[in-house]
Amino acid sequence: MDLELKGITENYRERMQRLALFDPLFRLENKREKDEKNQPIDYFGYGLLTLLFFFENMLIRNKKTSTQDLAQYLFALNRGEYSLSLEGFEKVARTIVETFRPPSGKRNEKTFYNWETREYESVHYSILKADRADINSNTQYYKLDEQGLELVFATKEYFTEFQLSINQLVLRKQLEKGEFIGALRQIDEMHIDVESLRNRMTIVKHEIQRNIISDETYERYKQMVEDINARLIRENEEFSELHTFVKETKNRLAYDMNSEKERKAYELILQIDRELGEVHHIHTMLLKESIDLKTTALHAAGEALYFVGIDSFNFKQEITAPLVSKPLPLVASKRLIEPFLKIEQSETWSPLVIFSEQRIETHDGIERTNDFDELSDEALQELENAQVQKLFGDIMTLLLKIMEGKDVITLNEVIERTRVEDPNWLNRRLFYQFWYVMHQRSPIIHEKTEESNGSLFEEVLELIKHKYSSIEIEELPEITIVTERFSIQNMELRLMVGEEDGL
Amino acid sequence: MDYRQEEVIKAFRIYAKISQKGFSEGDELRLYLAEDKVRGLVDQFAKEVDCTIFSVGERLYFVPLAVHSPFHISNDTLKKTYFTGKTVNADIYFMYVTIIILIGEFYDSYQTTEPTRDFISMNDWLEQVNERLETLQAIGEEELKELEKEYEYNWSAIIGKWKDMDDLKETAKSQSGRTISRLSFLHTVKRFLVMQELVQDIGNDELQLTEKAKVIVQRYFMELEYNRGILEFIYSIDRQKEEV
Repeated sequence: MDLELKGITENYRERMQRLALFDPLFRLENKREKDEKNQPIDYFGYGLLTLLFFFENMLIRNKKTSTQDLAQYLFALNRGEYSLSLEGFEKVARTIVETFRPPSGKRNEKTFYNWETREYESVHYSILKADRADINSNTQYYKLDEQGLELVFATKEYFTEFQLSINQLVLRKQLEKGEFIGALRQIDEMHIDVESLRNRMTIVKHEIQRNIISDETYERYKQMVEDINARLIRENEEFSELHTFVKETKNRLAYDMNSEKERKAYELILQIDRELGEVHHIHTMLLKESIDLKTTALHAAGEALYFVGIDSFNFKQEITAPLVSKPLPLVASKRLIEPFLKIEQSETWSPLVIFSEQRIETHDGIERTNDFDELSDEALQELENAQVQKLFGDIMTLLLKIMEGKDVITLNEVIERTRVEDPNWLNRRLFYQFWYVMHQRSPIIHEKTEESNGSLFEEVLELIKHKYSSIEIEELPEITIVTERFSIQNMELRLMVGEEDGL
Repeated sequence: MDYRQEEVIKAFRIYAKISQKGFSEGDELRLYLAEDKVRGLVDQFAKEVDCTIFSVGERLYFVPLAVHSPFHISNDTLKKTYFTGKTVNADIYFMYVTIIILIGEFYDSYQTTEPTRDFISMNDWLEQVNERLETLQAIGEEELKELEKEYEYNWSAIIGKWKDMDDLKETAKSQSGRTISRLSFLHTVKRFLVMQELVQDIGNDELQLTEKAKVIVQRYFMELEYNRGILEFIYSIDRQKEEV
């Protein structure tokens, strides 16, 4: 536990520094100044506008930007929103500049307790700096300082959108330098990126399915989906390259493993290879999904366009309120709720049923059928804990031992060998459940099990994943009486090699 | 439009499956989305029985539209399937009211078509129901009775019942059980909604709407045609009252 969570406090200072950048904006928000009509002035907004104003001026290489210019800009932008004269805006501009660049000359500072070093520390930052001055007119010109630029960038979606690409870049650099531990950490972060990407795509997908009400929104979503798609393709290429790079490094390291240090490095690169493969795999699935999204969902949404939707609808005001405050008759509630309810399903019984195949009941009233027993969801749920996972893994280990490298085996053979190898298993219910569930879930593939029933077969797949990609089970006709208590239908188990090389 | 027999059969198969289960998924969904003629036919079949078909995520849902659709679930079926023998129609209607209040809490803005909150706590829901019923109570019992003479089930009975219940029964260990309290009534409604796949219980006594519920609000209540129908329905009752 401790080991895995040690990353939390890492780079605490840098993160704090990044957060501290926002402080001046909040300090501005706390100003309680009013305009001439007694309306509180939007200092927070003006703060952001100021940053953008200076940023824009830097972009067009205008080196002479003064407080006066800022005030004029704000004044021009205002257009009746606030009741302030140009002088009023000059005051606002001065306050903002002073907040971003304290007139004392001291840099902005934030003191905090650093949980990584366990000491009080402070970070300094400078958002705005004086560029040059015109002594004659006593005017000072300003431009954004390093952290000011950072703050402007932080307000753009820029960072999250390109996070994965950034991580890929960093990873490459780390690999080139041989910083393998850092690289592992980078891959962990990629995992989170890919996960958040997946969430985002799910949201987009849902939105597309219910939200497209006009051509305009349709175009917007189309653009969005195309962007996502293009980005995923680009990232995917990068992943492939990284993968090749890791493989090469791995091969290079494999040749000279003389010292302990080199052996360690080799182990790390093996781990990197595996984990990168995992992230890449999930990412590839996302790419596939995004193509689906582009073809199916968007298409369907486009088709649905001829239904005209309305822009806004306040359920509470238009439905709830009249129902209760007018009030509508109680029975009216049914009409309003109907679209939400399931439909009526009538059950009829046909007399012809008496001629069809009958189920045979034993004297104790329990139905006997020739069907395979199916486990209920609850039973599966119960099985889905780490202990069972572990035991399943144990069974699989035994199984692999018995199979001696073969790809196919029947349950009968397994039972016979188990009688010799480890007869205790045959008296345990779980041994049979293992086969039942495998049969029920066959074929068992890594990503499939992840979705449908958690990680029940995680350990099992872990054991075979370097050589095989899935397990298939097929039932055979005969029933074997294993012990006095248990009998089970024979099955054939096949380990399958997929197209990919066992990732 | 000309249809080939094969298309008609395909469409009918999808229709039959959906009308049997209430939803459809997998290959049928793909077929429905991919083949224009099949989709057209399925939609038409559905329309004939006053239903409509929505695609929600990986599923196609069958939703009855008008009052006289043969597919509407009846109060009796609801009672038999989801509740106990003691449940009366008034309870069912009141359940509908609480559901409408619940959904209103998610969609209470003219600024956006999206829900304005991610989840609601059982307590907030209870508070809303309480507040609404207080408004009703303020109308005055006499007037309320007068208003609803012609209807079998009236609000006064509901208000009376609700008033007699405690918010929660302090002596009971669990409010979700069979104790008689307002909260346990809402828990019953919640269970029903979960079964209908309209809300998800996310723990900590909090509920969130499912995609199905959101789609129904956005594709039905916010659909111009249906929306007009609903509002007309609401106002038509209003007029009737005035005429009385």
